Amino acid sequence: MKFLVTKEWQRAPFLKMLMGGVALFLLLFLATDVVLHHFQTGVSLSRTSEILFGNEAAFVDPVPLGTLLLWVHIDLFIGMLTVLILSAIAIRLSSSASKSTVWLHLLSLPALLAPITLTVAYLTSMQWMVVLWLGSFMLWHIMGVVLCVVILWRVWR
Amino acid sequence: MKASKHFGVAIAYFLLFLAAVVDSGVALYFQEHGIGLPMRKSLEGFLEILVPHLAAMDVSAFVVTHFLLFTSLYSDRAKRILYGALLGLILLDQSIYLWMWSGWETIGWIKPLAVVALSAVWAAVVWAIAVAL
Repeated sequence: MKFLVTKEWQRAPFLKMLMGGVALFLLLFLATDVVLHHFQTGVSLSRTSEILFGNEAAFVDPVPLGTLLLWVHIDLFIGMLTVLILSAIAIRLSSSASKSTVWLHLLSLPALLAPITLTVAYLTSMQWMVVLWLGSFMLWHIMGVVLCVVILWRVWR
Repeated sequence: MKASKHFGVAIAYFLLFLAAVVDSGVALYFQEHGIGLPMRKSLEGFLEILVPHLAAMDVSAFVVTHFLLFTSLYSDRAKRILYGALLGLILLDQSIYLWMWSGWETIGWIKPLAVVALSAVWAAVVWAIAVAL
């Protein structure tokens, strides 16, 4: 309870353990989420296009709208929790000298845009939307991994 | 001061995420059922929907409405009414399939109304916090 008064996380070993633990598991989540999306939506331009738009030559049908909406619904919810927890911990640990919120936007904005661009790509069949989905999906995962590593380094150094 | 600015940005993104989650859920519901009555589901079928939503919706409601603790813009009574309405509508929305499964199929017409009403209350909570930010 001392932390609630002093706000000094460095002197609260249990709080450090809590933040390190969740960062470690979110690191594992972010890595495995990319692998899951490789099978679900694809994480390359050709595979994602084939899954979203189908491929007549290979007799592949487009993914049903209901399935895509379910993926997007789940992605948005998990992304929301991940971004909220990571940013809350990173803000608490960030040094007082840093006033920039760029890292926060680089994590949150692509995480929000990724499922939206995937839905728009499916509904409009626009190839550049798939590129936008790939870029935003990879960017928020990379930013998430970087933040997890920074949190772990600050907590356990 | 620096931390509160950062937290303000994080909360703003959280509200946008929440709006997108609710919108995609509503789209998913109407994509499956249209605007007509929902189909009766098996026990396994409705539990597949009920269980993750019982975990996700009340946690989201708790996280989002606890931000109202940090503002004096609204009365305590208004905050309690908003949170109570949110929890009540979540319970109503999620219990419809249970009533239908138990044989009361005509109650299905409430489901689309509950989905729309719940979305409206979510929007009211998000708006109330966005104004207070």
